[in-house]
Amino acid sequence: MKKLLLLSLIYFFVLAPVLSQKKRSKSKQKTYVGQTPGARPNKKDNFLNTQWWMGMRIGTTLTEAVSTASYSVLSPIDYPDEFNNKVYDQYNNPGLTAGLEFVFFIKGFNIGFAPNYRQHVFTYRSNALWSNPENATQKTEVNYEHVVDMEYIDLPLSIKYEFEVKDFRPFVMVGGYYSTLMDATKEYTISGVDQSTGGQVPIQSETHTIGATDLFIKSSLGIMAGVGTFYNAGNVRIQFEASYRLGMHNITNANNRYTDNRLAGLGDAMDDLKMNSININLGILLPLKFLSKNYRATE
Amino acid sequence: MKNILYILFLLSTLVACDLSDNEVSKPISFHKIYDTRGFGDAFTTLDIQETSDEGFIILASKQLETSDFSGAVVLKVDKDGEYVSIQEIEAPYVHPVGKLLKIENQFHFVVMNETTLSSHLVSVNESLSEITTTSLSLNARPLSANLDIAGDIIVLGYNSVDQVSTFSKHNAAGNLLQIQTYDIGAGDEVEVPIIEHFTSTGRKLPFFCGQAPDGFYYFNGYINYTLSLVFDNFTGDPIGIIQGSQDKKAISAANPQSILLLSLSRFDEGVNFFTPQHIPSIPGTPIGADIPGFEIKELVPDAKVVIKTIVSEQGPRDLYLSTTKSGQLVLMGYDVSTNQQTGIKYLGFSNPYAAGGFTTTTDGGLAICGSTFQAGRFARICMFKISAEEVQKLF
Repeated sequence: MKKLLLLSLIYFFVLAPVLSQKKRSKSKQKTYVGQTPGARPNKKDNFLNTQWWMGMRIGTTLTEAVSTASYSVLSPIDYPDEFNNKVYDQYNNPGLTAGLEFVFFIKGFNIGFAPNYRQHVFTYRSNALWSNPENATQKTEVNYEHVVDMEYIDLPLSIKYEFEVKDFRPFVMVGGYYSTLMDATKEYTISGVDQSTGGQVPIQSETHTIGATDLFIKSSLGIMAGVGTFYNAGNVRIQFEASYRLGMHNITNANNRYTDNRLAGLGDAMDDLKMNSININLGILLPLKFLSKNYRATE
Repeated sequence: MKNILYILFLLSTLVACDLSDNEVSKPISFHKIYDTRGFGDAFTTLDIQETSDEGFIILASKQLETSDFSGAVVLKVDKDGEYVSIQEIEAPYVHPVGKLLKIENQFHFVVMNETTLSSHLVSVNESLSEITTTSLSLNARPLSANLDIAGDIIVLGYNSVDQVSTFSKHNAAGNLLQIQTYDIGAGDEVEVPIIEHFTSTGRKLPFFCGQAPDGFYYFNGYINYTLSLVFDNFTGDPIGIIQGSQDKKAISAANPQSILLLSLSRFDEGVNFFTPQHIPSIPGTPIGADIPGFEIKELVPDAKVVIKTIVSEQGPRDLYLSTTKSGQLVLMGYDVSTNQQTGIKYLGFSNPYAAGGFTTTTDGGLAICGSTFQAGRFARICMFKISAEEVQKLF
């Protein structure tokens, strides 16, 4: 099923735009590298109008986990359910992304495929309170902080349209991605104040890390859009890109919400989550074919 | 444009297929903790039963500030384990004893009138909207209750005036049908552990009673100075006794397939043993509780154990529930015919847990109730629901 999905994505993001480009009116065609203005395109022109690039990219991700349905192991008897809702930090924890990028250039369009390692990190908090109604000073408040660290192999497909401004080539980008989860961990810290025995005693546990891969499904699917610029530096292209990714589905494994959760005893259960992110990447692209006698890739 | 729409449709269909596994209309496994804010609230969970709407009713005791005894609480949760309602049985009714007895769609349990020290039957409907209390005409404190094969209620009790164990049978209306008494022996040394059991100032002793499938009634109670497993059909002349040693060495749970084939657990000075297949020499003279078995090192000293027969794909199997030293619940599956363990499953992490009871569910899974200690100290009712698939892995 995943292979079919991948083939469909390739068709949708790669072949369909290429085919549609072919159908465009010839009169609207621009003149590109190596082409004589007004001349009828031939096979040589097509060769000169295209380029393959390959390179590497590295960057950072800032993740937003959006709760679409709240869950808790705690089912309160004498206080509102909402008290157990979690609070999520947004775009607070940087993650690493690094990998390869393959680009096919044709007539201003860059069709890219960038398999890469991608890390998403997000934090959420919850708390619990027990008190003595007959003695307001006697209470115990416990705060839980969970840092979720997820590592994906990411397979994005994108289309960038670039504008020519001297050596800079600003672009706009749209695309989609399919990612598969490799590993996930949860780091949790317990803190709070214990006023059960007269004084105010701080509760501060060590930070513990546990495996959390089974709490999430393997797949992550979404769409993305962004802006950036190429810079032609000699024979290579430097690429700077900023994009926003929108997760399209719940990434929490609903079947394992309670059963494989080592923190269930603390009341913790994963919400249904959609994961969005801001991504900033820097890359370098090398040409795979040379279009002029002086071995330059572009004019 | 048509091609793009077609591709979009195809793509959305594929995505839906890929992610459909993650859509769970009803959780088949879950864990819930029923939390209260009260600093002084402390619950001990006793038993659980499934209701006709696939929800659950949980019986628990609650520590009372105004009494030496614990109060009785029944909790209704829905099929997803979410809290629905709670009812606290009002004074003078205290000290609920398991099991939670299901007769049609009514649920019953036995409590004690703390003024008269007599036994009463509490009946609740599925929604907990109707609660009635009926005297059992039994001048004894209740120690345990169960249903017999005919659906009558059998009660093990203790009469502190005559210092006798009582074993009685009642109908669902509470009328006394049969009763037999057994001398526990003279002296305070015998009575003190029983009184401490009632007031929760000492050890909780493993009192239980029931009827084996072959018709023999049994109870685990005090007789002749010792905590013993007694088989007797209300004659006063037991057909068989597995005799303990005071309260230091005794049977902690039993699931008799017949009077000649028992699944047992026992404790001996804190050490726990499981004996999935015991063939006693009954009828005969009383035997000691030094029955060969597997030492279960991971259990808390003198652990509470619940044993029930589960019908699995492989046939009937016995399931043991207990509490580990690491504060987890443990389920151990055994094949009685081979005396071999078939599976094990631990439940509960992060905070300590203590075993309550368990029941099978209509979807083939298990509902297990217990107590957990939030922040390591606040005793709360909890339950686990595990799927039929997980249950089969135990066998």
